[in-house]
Amino acid sequence: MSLLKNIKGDSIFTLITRGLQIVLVALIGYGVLRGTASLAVNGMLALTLTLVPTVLGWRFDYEVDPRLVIWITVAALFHVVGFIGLYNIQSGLLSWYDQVAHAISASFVAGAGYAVIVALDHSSARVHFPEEFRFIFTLCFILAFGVAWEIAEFTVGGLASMLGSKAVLTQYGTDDIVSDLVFNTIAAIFIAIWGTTYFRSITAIVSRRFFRTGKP
Amino acid sequence: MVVAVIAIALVPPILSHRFTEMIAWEVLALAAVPVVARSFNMLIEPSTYLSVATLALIVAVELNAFTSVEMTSGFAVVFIVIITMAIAGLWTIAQFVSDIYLGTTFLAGQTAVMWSLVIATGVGVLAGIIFEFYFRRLSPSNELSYDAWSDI
Repeated sequence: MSLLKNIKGDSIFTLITRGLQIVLVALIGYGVLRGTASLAVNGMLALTLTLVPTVLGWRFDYEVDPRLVIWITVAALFHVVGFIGLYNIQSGLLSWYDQVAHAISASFVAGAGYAVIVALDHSSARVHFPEEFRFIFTLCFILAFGVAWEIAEFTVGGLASMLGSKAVLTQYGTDDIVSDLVFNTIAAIFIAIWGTTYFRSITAIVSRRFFRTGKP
Repeated sequence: MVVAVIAIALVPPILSHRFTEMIAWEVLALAAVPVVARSFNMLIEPSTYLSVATLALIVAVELNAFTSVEMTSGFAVVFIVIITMAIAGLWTIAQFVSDIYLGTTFLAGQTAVMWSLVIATGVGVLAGIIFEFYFRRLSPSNELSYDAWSDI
């Protein structure tokens, strides 16, 4: 009972996050055992990114919103699960998986980017980032990360063809590159809106308009 | 591009109401490089992204000076690299859309697209490094502070 009492509010979120991270570790193990390099490598990258908020907590003594941490972890999991084989499905019920997973994993990078800039803002008196700037920064961050990601895919593909092995990451053509970038941007807009007070002021405006409440 | 350079260069004198308030000439000259390169028809792509990076630097300095945004020089460098890469990404999307709906042929295949993204990133990183050294060595009185990144 005392254990249950201790786990309330934020710590439940932390517990869920740790649970999801254990699933990630299990997936990495599965990838290693089966010799699926793409699953193992992407799993490790994703796991590292889900640890960013924890590291920020240690380094800057700033706690990232636990709901954001959960979102980051869920998105990471969604991306990694795709490598079991869901990304290769081109038709049928799960053919949308690639696009949706891309938007979700992009939002997870955007979430990490947003967390970093908020932590910097809180931890140092020498920088100040107002909401508008955070919004723009998050957008640019995810676009830049998308470009970096495509370059990574390109490099890995080039190296793999030189060595004559199968690529861990794949590019399927210009359409694929551009649709990746577009879905990244859409996801980044959502995260940026959700993460900043833009969202709060929009809700305030909407509620004032429709419910005519005195308080925003 | 020319319009963008001129517009951003005019922000300080307008906002400060002093005609002598100006971006350092070296920086503006760098931003104008692609205009020259284009007229000689050489190194168009790298010089364009050099200009984008320089414009990002100017925007960073102006944000720091004229708005409530405060950043350190280390962060400014990261900001410049990120903006340059983001613009390259947006530019690729814009070209793709134009190719489909306006019948243009800007994008010459996957490899060409990837190489221009690589060039943009390379130039962005290079520009970031150059600016960092420029801040530190040549202009110690610059508005941005230098050792700040280390104390974050």
